[in-house]
Amino acid sequence: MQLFKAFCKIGKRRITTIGIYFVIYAVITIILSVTAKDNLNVNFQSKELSVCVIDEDNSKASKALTSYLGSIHHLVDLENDPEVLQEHLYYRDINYVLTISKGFEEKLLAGEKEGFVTNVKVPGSSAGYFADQQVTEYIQALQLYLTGGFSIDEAIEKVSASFANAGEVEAVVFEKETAEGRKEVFYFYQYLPYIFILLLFAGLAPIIMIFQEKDMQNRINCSAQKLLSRNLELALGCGAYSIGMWFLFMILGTLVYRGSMFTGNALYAMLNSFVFLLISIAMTLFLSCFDLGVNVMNVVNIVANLFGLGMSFLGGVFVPQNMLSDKVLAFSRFLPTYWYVRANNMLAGFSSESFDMHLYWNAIGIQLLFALTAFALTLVASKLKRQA
Amino acid sequence: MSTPVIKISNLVKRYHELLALDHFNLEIKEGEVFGLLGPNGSGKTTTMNCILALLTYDKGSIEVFGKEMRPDSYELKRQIGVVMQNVAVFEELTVYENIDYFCGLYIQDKALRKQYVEEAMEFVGLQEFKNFFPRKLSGGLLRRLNIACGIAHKPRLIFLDEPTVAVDPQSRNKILEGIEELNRQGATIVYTSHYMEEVEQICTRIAIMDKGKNLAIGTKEELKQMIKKSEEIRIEMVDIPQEYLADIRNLKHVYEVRFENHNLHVLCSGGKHNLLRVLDYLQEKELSFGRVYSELPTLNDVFLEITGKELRD
Amino acid sequence: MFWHAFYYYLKSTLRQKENLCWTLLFPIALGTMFFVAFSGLSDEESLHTIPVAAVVKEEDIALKSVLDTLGEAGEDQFLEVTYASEEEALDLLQNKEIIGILHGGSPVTLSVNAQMDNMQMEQSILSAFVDQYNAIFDGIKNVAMTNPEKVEAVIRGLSEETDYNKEITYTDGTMDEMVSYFFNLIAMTCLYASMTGLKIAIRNQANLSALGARRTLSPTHRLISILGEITACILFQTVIVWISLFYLGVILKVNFGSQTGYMMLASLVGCMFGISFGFFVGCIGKMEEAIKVGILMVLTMFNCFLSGLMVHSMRIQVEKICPWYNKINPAALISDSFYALSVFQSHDRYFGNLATLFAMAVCLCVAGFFIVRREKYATL
Repeated sequence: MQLFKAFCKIGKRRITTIGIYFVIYAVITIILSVTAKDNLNVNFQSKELSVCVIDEDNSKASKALTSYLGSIHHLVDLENDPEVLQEHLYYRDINYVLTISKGFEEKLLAGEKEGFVTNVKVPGSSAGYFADQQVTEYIQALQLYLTGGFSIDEAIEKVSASFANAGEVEAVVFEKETAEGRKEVFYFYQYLPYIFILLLFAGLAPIIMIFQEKDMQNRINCSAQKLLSRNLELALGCGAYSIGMWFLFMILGTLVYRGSMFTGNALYAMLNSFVFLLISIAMTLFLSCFDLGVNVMNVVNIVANLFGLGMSFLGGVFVPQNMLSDKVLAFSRFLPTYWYVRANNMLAGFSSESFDMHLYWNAIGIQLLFALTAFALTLVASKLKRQA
Repeated sequence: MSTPVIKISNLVKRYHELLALDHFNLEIKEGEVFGLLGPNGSGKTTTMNCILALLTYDKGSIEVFGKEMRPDSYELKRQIGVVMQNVAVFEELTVYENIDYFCGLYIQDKALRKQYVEEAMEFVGLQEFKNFFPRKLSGGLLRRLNIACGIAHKPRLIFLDEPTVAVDPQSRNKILEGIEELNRQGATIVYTSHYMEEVEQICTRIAIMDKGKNLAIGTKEELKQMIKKSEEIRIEMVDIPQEYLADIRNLKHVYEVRFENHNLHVLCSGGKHNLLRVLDYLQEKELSFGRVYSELPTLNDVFLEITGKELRD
Repeated sequence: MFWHAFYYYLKSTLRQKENLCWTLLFPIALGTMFFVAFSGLSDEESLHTIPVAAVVKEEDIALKSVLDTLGEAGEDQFLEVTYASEEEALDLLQNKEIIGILHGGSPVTLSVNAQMDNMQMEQSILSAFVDQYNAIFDGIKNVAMTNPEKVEAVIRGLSEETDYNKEITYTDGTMDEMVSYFFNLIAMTCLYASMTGLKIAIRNQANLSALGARRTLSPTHRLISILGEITACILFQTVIVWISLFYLGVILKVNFGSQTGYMMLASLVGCMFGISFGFFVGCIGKMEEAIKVGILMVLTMFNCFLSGLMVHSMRIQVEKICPWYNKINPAALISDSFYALSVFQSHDRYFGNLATLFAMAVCLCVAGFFIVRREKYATL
């Protein structure tokens, strides 16, 4: 067990570096999963937006519109300076700026169809779109009553009453357990692919590389120990490190999410993460076959982030899969992260795919195939290296 | 009496509990090739680093060229050249560029520097390797480059710390010849090593160190006269009876006789023609013998007698 | 002495081909991956047809008529309507085959699946549609009751094109959120330069390398040669970032805006900080190089993370919880500088960020010098 012992000794010497990586990435995981609610799933309940209304008309109609917006959103009073407004929009102090142009009421009464108000919002934001809809509805409703022969006062009254009586949206709960408690655990698993790749590339790869170094390899090859036995010992070392790391993360998850880690679909997610760990180990071994030059630590970190971030973004770890275009998803199918995320999304109910065991095992199987392929490539690469 | 180039008084240096230098005293005069001889861990490199103001020390004083040596003594530093034990060159620069870089830290004038660099390369015999990168050089050539980088600016005082470790014989000879030449050109040399043959070959004065102390100091001859042994005679024999050993022991100037591994060792202190006397005796007793060696004492013998240890342990 | 150190540092750096490759490859490869990942990202403004179920009674003629119109096959199909019973509709909703159930009546009501949070956009649109329908329905009813002769005019009015609410922007630059990922990528590249700063510190310290010892023994004030090397390093790293900017902005056509000069300046200051930071970490203590590299890497990634590299709204979270951190997080400062260039007309925020970065860089450099200034050591 000499090799294994040597592996452990080297690992011990590097414990500070490994520890630093572990702590920081554990913190990142927790922060990501705790804030993921806001990132991945915005609560349906129509959020009370922060809206700034600049009334240049000061008429009954404009005041009514302002009042309506004030009843469903939070009005923020700011000066009419584009820079100031832009600043507040940028920092999300306000979500929407509505400027009611001078002549608003006149245009309404005249039956015109455009140029009533202008808005500034963060483009593409759902909040902005939502506010747009509500403004348009209100003006449209007002104009309807005016066309219908009502006076401005009557129209305002009727419209206000109408919107005040708007029906509530019923949110039907199909699952028995509260969705909140369960879901958060899956946010924890969502980001693990990136974390595993980083921790194994940056922590484990440098140790393995020491054993793969040419002179070291030659010296080990001269020994009486069989090749298989040597490789098994190294594999044991890698396994100990990786599984230890995985285990620590499971403990971390249990500390934060407690019982949720073991109920319902969470155990499937745990298995999913373990399978991805195997892929990460295989990729790490493959990486270790290459000579990365003098600045090993430097290059290893670069490669770790290249693969980690790249595969994560393309696979839907950070940007939800349902936001990626079909072309990208077609390509991502060749990445293990895609399958990991798809399984996790399905288990959590993040995606529109309902829970399907067949799909789950499919995803697991494909990930295992990735792992096997990477292991096979490692064997080929190390053989070529020996022959060279 | 000229000021000594280096004057160390009562130097004490501790690494935690370990006393690396124990009230060490030393004076080195201008124009000497001064050898610091001692086994590994005796304090040679520590002494050198203290002189160069790289290491702090706990007690004592050090003067170089009559002035206290401090980290900001730039005028003193300008006159010093150092060749460290570890090769300190840039892997990404060629031989020429390395020497030019380090020379440039001392000599600002470009034209003068160019001249010095060419001379340094010629001096160590690296002209044909001018555009080579360090990784392409053998151990010996690398050491020569290391030396060139340390002496290119023609310093008055040169420190060489074990410059021939792991070096091929050809390079080693070149290095030793080079050092002698530098001395001839006027430089004072401080040479540390645990190879006594080198120290014996080039050093004018030698200090033997052990455990942070200066055990003995003087020229080769002075040191050898400090010890009892002036000659060791070794004769190959199959066997010799004990009583004959006692007889040989009683010969004039003989102070020790041993017979081991089919070799008769006779240690003499002083006197002439000791070998003849021993051989006469053997002939008288009709004892046959093989090869005969007569060796003068080495510095190793000096060290052995003073400390009871070998220089190379 | 300064230029001597500058020249040779640059020469030796340019000869480290492997290092050069990796340093350049990193932002270009990652930028390309980002670009691919973000291409064709679902445009939230463009609506896809929303599948709904409608539970209507015989008397809900108006609703049926509206749904049929909106459900007409074609380019602008708004809804995909399935008429069903209550049970059937709930079934569809549970299986997530529809976004919501429209219940006929007065007013029309909407049910959605509480576990379909990811479809909130579509749910909100449906909700807004229902509100609008109810409001208009009420309106027409009221008009019919009071001024029935106006009903025709009202209905005609409803079918006319309107543009009540025009969107404007205060800035010419892009407000595309995905561009912020690229800004953070540039920030990360600048901060990765800290590795070279670390190397400068190590090779200049006598207790950390033989080269350092040799430097210390020379009559050239070490600080001058260190300054020369740092300057050369800044130049080198900045050019790398400029090349990355060129690749991202010109070849991949990421919309960085048009203020190229200011962007290049921000890159320069960013690299300055990165290198100073690495230099400072390299100067403290006698830890192994591997540990120092580890420290630099995790701090860089942590700061980039908080600045929004992985999830771009992280920056906003930090702004809400501890806004002061955004003002000192170098990654946030760098990416914010780029953002400010593309969003604001005035350069106040931009220069503010750069000033902070520059000040921090200078402090770190000076602190490093102070530590390394000591040229005598207790042990070597």
